[in-house]
Amino acid sequence: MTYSPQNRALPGGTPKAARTLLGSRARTALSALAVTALTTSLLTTSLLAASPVANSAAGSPLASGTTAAGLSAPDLSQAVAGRSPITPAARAEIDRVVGEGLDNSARITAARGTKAASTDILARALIRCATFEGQRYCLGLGWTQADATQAAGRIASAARSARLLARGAKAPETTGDLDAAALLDQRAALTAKQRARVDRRELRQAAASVAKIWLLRHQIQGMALPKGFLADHPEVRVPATALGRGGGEVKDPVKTAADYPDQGHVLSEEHVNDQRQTYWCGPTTMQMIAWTKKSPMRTQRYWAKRLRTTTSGTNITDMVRVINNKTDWDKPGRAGTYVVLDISDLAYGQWTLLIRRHIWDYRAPMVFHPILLKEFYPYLDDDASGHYQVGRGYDNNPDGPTKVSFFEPWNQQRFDPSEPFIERVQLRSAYKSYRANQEHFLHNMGV
Amino acid sequence: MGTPRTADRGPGGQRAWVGALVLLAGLLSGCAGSPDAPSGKASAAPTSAASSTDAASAEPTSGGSSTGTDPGATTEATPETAPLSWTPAGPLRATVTADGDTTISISGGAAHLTIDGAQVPLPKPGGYAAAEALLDRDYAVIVHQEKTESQPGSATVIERASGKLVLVDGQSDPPTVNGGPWALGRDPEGHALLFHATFGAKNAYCLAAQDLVTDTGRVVWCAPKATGFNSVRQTPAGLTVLSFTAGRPSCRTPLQIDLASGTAEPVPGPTACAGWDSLLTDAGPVWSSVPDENQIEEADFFAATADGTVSLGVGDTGSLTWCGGSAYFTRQPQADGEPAELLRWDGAGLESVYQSPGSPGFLSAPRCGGDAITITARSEGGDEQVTARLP
Repeated sequence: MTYSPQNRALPGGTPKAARTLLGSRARTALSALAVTALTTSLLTTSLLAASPVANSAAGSPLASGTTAAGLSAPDLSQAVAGRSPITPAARAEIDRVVGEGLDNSARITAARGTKAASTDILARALIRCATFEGQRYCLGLGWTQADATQAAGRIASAARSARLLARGAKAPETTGDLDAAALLDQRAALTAKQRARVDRRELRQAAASVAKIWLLRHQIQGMALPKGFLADHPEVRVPATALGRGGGEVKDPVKTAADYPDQGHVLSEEHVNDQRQTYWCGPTTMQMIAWTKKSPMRTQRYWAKRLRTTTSGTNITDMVRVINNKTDWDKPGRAGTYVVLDISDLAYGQWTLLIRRHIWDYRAPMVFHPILLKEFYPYLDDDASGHYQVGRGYDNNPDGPTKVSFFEPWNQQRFDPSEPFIERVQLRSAYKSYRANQEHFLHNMGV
Repeated sequence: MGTPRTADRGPGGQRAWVGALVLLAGLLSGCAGSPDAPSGKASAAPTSAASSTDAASAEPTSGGSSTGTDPGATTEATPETAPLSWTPAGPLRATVTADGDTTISISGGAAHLTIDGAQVPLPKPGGYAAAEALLDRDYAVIVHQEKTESQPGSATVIERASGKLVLVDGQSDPPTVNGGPWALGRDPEGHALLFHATFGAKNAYCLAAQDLVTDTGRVVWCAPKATGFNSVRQTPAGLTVLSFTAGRPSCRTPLQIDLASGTAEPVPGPTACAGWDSLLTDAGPVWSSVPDENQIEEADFFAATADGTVSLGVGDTGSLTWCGGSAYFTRQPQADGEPAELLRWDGAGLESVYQSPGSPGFLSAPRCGGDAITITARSEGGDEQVTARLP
C-alpha cells in the first residue's frame, strides 16, 4: 500500500470534517465533532431516562458505574459494550449472507484453483458482507467501511500477489499469518455445509459486537451514534466517574491522548514466549494474551488446536473468536466482545487513541497484525510475512513521539544462526507499528 | 581457495549444508529446554517498565535512552544541517540501490538491474527470491535466498564495466550458507571482495571472502563455538563484524578482524555485551551500544577521534553505513514535530544530510552505491525514496 496521509479520505459514514484529520492535529477537530455526538446522545438519554435497565455490573471493575440509560449526562468516552443480543433483524441478515454463500457454492467449487480470474471469483463469492445496525462486517476482513466490492477486491489483489510469489518461490519467509490466497483456499476447500456453519459462527460473533463497534466508531472516529442507541443497547455501560481510573477530568466528550496518563500497560513481562514453529505466531500470541496470574500458561500446541492453525498459519477472525471464547478479556469489565477492525481508515492519531483506550480504559491487550518487513522491524534479517503480536502498552514519551509496547513471538535466532536474540518485550515508535499494521494486506487488528 | 560458479547453473547440490545449519541453529537458539518453556528475561540492560502486573500501571515508569553514558564519551556532537542534493529514486514499491548509471531495484522477490539505461538480464535461481542488493563503483551484486532459508543463499555478481557475470553459491569454495550476512569490500591490493558466511572445520560458522578479480575464495575468520555474527562492514581502515553468543540475552560484541591474519579483537568503545553497529575509520572506530534491550531499535552512537570519544547521539540500531568516505546512520524523531534524519560523521563533524518530509516518521537504513546513497522515508508528511551523489 502506498501511504499518503494527505489523501487518506475516510469512507462514507464518517463526518465530513474528519476527512482531513492528520496525526495528532486530528484530536482538536475530533473533539469538536464529538460535541455534536454528545448532544445527540444527551437528547437520546433524556428521552430514555425513565427506561428501566436490567444490567448488573456487580463484581465487575465497572461496578461503581451506572448503566447508560440511568445517567443524566453520560460520558460516553468511558462507555464499554458487553455482548449484544442477536436481534431478529441481525438473525435475518445472517441468514441472508449465509444463504448467499450457499447459493455461491457451485461457483466456489468451480473457481477453486490458482488462476487469477478464479481468485477474483473466489473472493467475490467468499468475502461477503453483512450490515448490522448500519455497520458493515465482511467475512474474513472484519468490521469495515469498505463496501463488499472493495473488500473482495482487497483480498483478491493480495491473493493474486501471493499466488504469483508462491509460483516463483518468491514468497517471503512466513511466521504464521494466513496469506490472502490461503485464506480463500481454506474457505473454498470446505463443503457448502461446513462453510455455512463457519460463516454463520463468524457473523454471529460480529452481530454480538455491534454495540462495541458503534462505540469505537464514536469514541475513536467521532461518528455520531444512531438515535436510540443507548435504549437499544442496555449492554453498554458507563462508569460513574469521569475517568474510570487515574483521576482527572474529561474536558471533551471524546477523550484525546491528553486525557490519558503518560504510560499504561497490561500483561506481565514475565509471561512471554517465542514461537516453537515458524507458522505459530498466532498460537504464541494467543498463549501470551491468555497467560495471566489467574490463568496459567497453556502450550502453543493447545492454542494452535483451538485456533485451527495449519502450516499456512492462523486467521485473524480465529484469533478474535478464541479470545472471546477462551479468555476473560472480552468481559464487559474489560474490552467487551473482541472484534476484527479494519484500520485502513484510521489516521495515525486515531490509531494511537485506540491503543490508549484499549490499554488504559479496557485494560486489555490487542492483537497487532503487521507485516514483518525489515523496513518496519530493522532488527530482522529478512522480510517476512504477515504476523501477529500482542499489543500491550503505550508510552506518551513526553520528550518525543508516542511509543507502543508489544510482545514479539518471532525469535529469528531460533530459525537462523546469523541473528542475535532479541527480547520478547519491546517498546518502540508507535508510528512504525502503525505503518506496519497499515501495510498488511488486510489492514485490520483484533480489538 | 576456490572458484565462483558461473551463472548458467542452478543452485542444486546444496542439501549437504542443511544438516550442518540445523545443527548450528539448534546450538545457537539454545533450545535445549523443555518445549514451550517461557523465555527467560535476563536482560543485561535496564528495562523501561517498572512493574509487571496484569493490570494497567497507574504509575509513570521511567524509560528512554540517554546519550553520553558510555564511559569513554567526552564530548557531544550537535549536527549541523547540510542537506545533500536529493532526487527521486523511483516508486516505493521497489527498494532501490543506485549509483550513477547503475540501478538495482528489488520488488516482490524479483531484482532488476539497469546499467546505462539498459536492462541487464539476470539469472533467476529456481525457488529463490532476491533479498538484498550490494553496489560499489565496480560491481553490482544481487543476493538470493531460498524462501525458507533451508538452502544456501546465492549471489549474482555483475562487473559494471564489462557486464561479466559470476555466481557465488553453495557450490563455491568456500560455499555460501543459508541466510547470513553479505558485504562488498576490498583487499590491500584493491581487489574487490565479496564477504559471506560459510561453514569451516567442525561446523564452525565462518566469514569467507571471494576475490572477484581472481575468482578465488578463502575463509577469513571463524566465530568461536556457540557464537554467531552478522553486520559485516569493511572500510579502508579495516573490517568489522557484530559477534554474539547463543545466550538469552545474546552478548553482542563488535569485533575488528584482520583480513590478512584472521585474528579478531573487540572494537574498543561499545558497552560490554550491548554493542551493535561498528565500522573503522582512519580516526578510529564508530560504534553503537543499545542501552535498553527492550528498546532494541534505539542505540547510542559514538565515534573515536584523536582527541577522545564523541557522542553522536541516539540513532537507529543497525543503520550505520560506510559510503563515499563517511559514516552514515539514521535517527528517528526525538521530539514531537522533529523529522527523521540521516546523519553523516566524516571524522571531524556531524551533519544532518537528509530530513523526512514530516513527523512522525522513520527512515530505512541507507543503501550505499559507491558514490551515491539512497534512502527511503516514511512519514506523516509523505513517503519518498531518494538518492544523492556524494561529494
